Amino acid sequence: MQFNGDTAGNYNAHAIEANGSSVSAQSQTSLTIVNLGGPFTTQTANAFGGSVIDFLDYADTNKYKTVRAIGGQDLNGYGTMMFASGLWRSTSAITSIKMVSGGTGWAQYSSFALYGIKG
Amino acid sequence: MASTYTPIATTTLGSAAASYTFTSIPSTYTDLVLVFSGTLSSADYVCMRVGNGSIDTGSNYSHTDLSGNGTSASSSRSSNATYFFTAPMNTNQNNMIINFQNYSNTTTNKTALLRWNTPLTDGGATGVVGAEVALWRSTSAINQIRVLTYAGQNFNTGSTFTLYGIQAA
Repeated sequence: MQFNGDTAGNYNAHAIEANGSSVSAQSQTSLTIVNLGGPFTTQTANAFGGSVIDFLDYADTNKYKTVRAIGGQDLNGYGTMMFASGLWRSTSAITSIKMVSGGTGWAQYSSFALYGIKG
Repeated sequence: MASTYTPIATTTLGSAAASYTFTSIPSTYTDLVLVFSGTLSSADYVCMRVGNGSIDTGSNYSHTDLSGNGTSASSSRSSNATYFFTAPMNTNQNNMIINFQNYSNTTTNKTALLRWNTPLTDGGATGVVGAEVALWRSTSAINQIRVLTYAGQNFNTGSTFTLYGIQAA
């Protein structure tokens, strides 16, 4: 994921990830992209991964932007589950979000929805 | 301004029950969110089944989970299961939030994401927090959801079940 077209190394991320038998954690800094969806594989028999990502205080121009995510994919015998958070080191309001796959592209019927939550 | 979450149905149990079923879920929303808050008559696993027209009790479910108990983290999975989720809960106040994405499409199998917690108590019961991703191997739209327990323990009086619809612009 990238914000406002920023492709520089302004992203940090850390996550805890499980694969059905073990759990691991990871932390990365100065990324050019923030991974919040989990390591999805090629879709099998119409089994798609899913992610829910929260952008907190996305329009505040006084702070860096923090996001958090829960994501995973289960393929009936293989699966990954992930909690992640990310930081975009910019005080700019988020006005665009680019969802980036890891090189293989999004499969047909992948869907994306963005909702606003107003206090 | 349109609401983000639209309540479709909500109930507070007036008497103990081993399951609760949402039926006639409209297909007009983009996603669904189910929220459970309640207690069990005794420790058990809270599970879920879904269906279209009727609840699917076949071996068409699987899941991968991640949980922590304050000491360690662990992960497990099920395959060809007869339940969507299995979240361990007990007599304390348990909470569960489930996201069903793109629940009414008839092209793909259905994936759902679950977050749950069972609180730590002064009496020594272990608190657990977890998350799961689950798959229902059916391209049918989901219009029924049943929350139940694995071993037949009851949800106590006062337990609440709420289903929200989220509509994209």
